[in-house]
Amino acid sequence: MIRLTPEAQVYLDDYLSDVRSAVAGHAGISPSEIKEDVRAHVFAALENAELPVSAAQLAAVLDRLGPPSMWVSDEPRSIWKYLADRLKPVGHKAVEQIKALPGEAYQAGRGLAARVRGLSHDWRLAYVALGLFVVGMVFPPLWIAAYFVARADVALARERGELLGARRWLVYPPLVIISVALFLALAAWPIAPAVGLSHEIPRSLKSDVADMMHVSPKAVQPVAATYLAVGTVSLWWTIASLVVVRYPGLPGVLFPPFGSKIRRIDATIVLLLSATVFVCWLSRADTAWQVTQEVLRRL
Amino acid sequence: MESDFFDNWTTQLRKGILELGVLAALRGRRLYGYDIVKRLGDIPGLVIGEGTVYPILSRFRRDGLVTTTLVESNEGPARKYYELTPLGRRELVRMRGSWRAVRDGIDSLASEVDS
Repeated sequence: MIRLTPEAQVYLDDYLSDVRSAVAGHAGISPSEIKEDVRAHVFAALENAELPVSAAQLAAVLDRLGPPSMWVSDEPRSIWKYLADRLKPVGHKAVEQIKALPGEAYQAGRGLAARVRGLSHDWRLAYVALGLFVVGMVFPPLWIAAYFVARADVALARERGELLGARRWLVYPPLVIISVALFLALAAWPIAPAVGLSHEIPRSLKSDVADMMHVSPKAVQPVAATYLAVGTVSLWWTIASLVVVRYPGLPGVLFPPFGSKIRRIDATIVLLLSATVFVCWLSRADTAWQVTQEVLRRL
Repeated sequence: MESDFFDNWTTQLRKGILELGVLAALRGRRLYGYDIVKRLGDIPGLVIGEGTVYPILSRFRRDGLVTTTLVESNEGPARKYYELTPLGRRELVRMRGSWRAVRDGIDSLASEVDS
């Protein structure tokens, strides 16, 4: 069995850590598999070396192996890793700007930058996500950046096969709030055109339309809005759940971290319910059709 | 300038040929990663960074061109042996055919002036 000097062991650990960072975010690559490949290669190359293996001997083997980036030279990167890499220079620039500030502000900024720099890559992303989220309360567009950074951190953890652990308390606030907002917007957007359409019924026709709908003139607009909303929403949910039944991974991509819990069976149940509601809605469409024709005829 | 052009050309050439080299090294035998790297390293100019071979092996495994078997080793971590699958063997035959056709074609072009 090959033994390494403490210095060589540190050298190897550093190289493996760099390889792990380089391969993170690349689709289809398992960091643990690559780590094993590197270790197997190094130990095979040093099979006949004098023991314990020195850092210089190890360095020669790793030099021939190539830089960590070589392990992913022809592999595609995930979009989240790409975004994280793109955000890195922005972070560095911000640190430079903090350095340019005078006096106490500079000292405070330097202290913060040093702390962030001292963190591991994963924790750094998590803190940046939370930081952007907090500042986003004053300048809301930053929430979008916070959302993407949080997603990058979650993707990184997933690709490394790690649990988020305590990091989730930093990452989840932007992720959950934006995901929930996005989910609500996508689920309920058909209500807006339905309400808008219901306002199109001219005031002069309301009493006639009320007779046709068998409701009081005051109730015409709310009833029409409700009727149209039920139709548009049930139709939209039928289409959306059909898409999810076909592509069950989609909610996980759109609404992390909880979207991945939506299974095909859940989508099927929603599909059946929304399709049933839509069919019932269609069965009442004759009155709506008459009302529409009457409104159009008199306009 | 001339050197840049040549370096770029050899890089591009190597990229395609290395995949053929990996499959050819595995023809009719089972080898572990380091062994493949050493054998390819014996071909002048083919392997610049030994680490480039492993991503190719991983991709070949995902694409079903090779299979792997882990074998315990007394010297260190378990060794991962690679072996061509029937698909890998077929692809190797096709790739060697293409390689020979290109090589022979260029050789004959170059020898037209001599003859």
